Amino acid sequence: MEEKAKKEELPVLMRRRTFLDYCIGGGVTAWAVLTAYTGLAFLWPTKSSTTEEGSEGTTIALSEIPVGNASKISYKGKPTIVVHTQEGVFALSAICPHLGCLVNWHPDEKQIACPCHAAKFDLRGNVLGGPSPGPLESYKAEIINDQIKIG
Amino acid sequence: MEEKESKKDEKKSLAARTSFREILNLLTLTGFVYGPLDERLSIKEALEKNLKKPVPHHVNFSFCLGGMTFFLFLVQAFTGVLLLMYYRATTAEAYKSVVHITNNVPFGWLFRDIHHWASNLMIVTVFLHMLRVFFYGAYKPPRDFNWVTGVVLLTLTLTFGFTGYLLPWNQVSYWATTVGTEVPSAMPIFGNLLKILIRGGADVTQVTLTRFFAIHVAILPPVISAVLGMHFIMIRKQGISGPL
Repeated sequence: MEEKAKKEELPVLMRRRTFLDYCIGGGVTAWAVLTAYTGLAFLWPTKSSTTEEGSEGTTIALSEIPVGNASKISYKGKPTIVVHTQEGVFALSAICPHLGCLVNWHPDEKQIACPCHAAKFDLRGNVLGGPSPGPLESYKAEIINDQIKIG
Repeated sequence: MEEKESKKDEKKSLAARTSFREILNLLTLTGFVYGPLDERLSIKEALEKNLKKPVPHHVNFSFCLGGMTFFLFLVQAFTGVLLLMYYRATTAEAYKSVVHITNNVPFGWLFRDIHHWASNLMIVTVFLHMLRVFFYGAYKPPRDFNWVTGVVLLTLTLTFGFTGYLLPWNQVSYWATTVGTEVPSAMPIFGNLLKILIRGGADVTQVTLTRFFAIHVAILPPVISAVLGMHFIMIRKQGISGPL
């Protein structure tokens, strides 16, 4: 008698239909998650296009950049401009702090300028004019034998 | 007194659990669609009418072939869009990009294989669907116009298969397209002109690849979607055909 009463008091935790609904919902969710995961993994850029190389420096052949010229390379996975002048070699971030365009070396004016809004920088990255809110990041660069070593 | 209060707490926790379940329920499709969405759009009645439409007793598995074809079409659309993110439609790069998808892109092999197999299966199901409609006499009036849209869909599906076959730009696809585009040249008068029009020149070249790529990814998808829409509207309007 007591047992029966207890049984009646047991709350209905879940109806069979609700349970089945949850199973279907869970299955659909699992399917959606797996599809989204494989789809995103597929779309995510592969390593070769996003690698951030280790902290050890990059070297390029001196002959690649004659005196007075500049070259853009990837250093630590970021665009970097290397300028070779009579005063030596300079390596700076090529990303303009204003709006992120890639800066160019202008040998006639002997300054670095951004093609988008004419921000101007000297070889140490200091702002000479234009809208840039800050200097270009400057990296250590030196000539070792026939190589330019950055970092 | 104390006992009573503890009991009250128990009840409260149960109520809290129930409201938690209500939130969970809201997250399910019926919970949301029949809840807040229905309040604003009165969508429930129309949905129930469509979802709970009784199916005639004579309906069997063979009546699912059209739906299976449509499902495979959706699979093709999804995997095709993904493949499009890496595929490059030039004679120099097409095969390289396909190899890159297969070997380097995460799950690229999976999506390429699904696209390949689903396309083959789609041809199979579309033919079986056509046979079912034929042997049930479901093409007879008033459903004769739907047979016409069905034939158009069959042609579009085959064109999808034919144009897609060239895209990997390997030996088998190159020669299959050479042979396949040679077929219309057997027609008198227009044959050769048609062949040159399809190929965009005398031979299968970059022009052909660009043409087939454009047809496969830009022209056919909207066209087949429109014809599928007509096909489905007519089915809803006319209902499922009768037994044998």
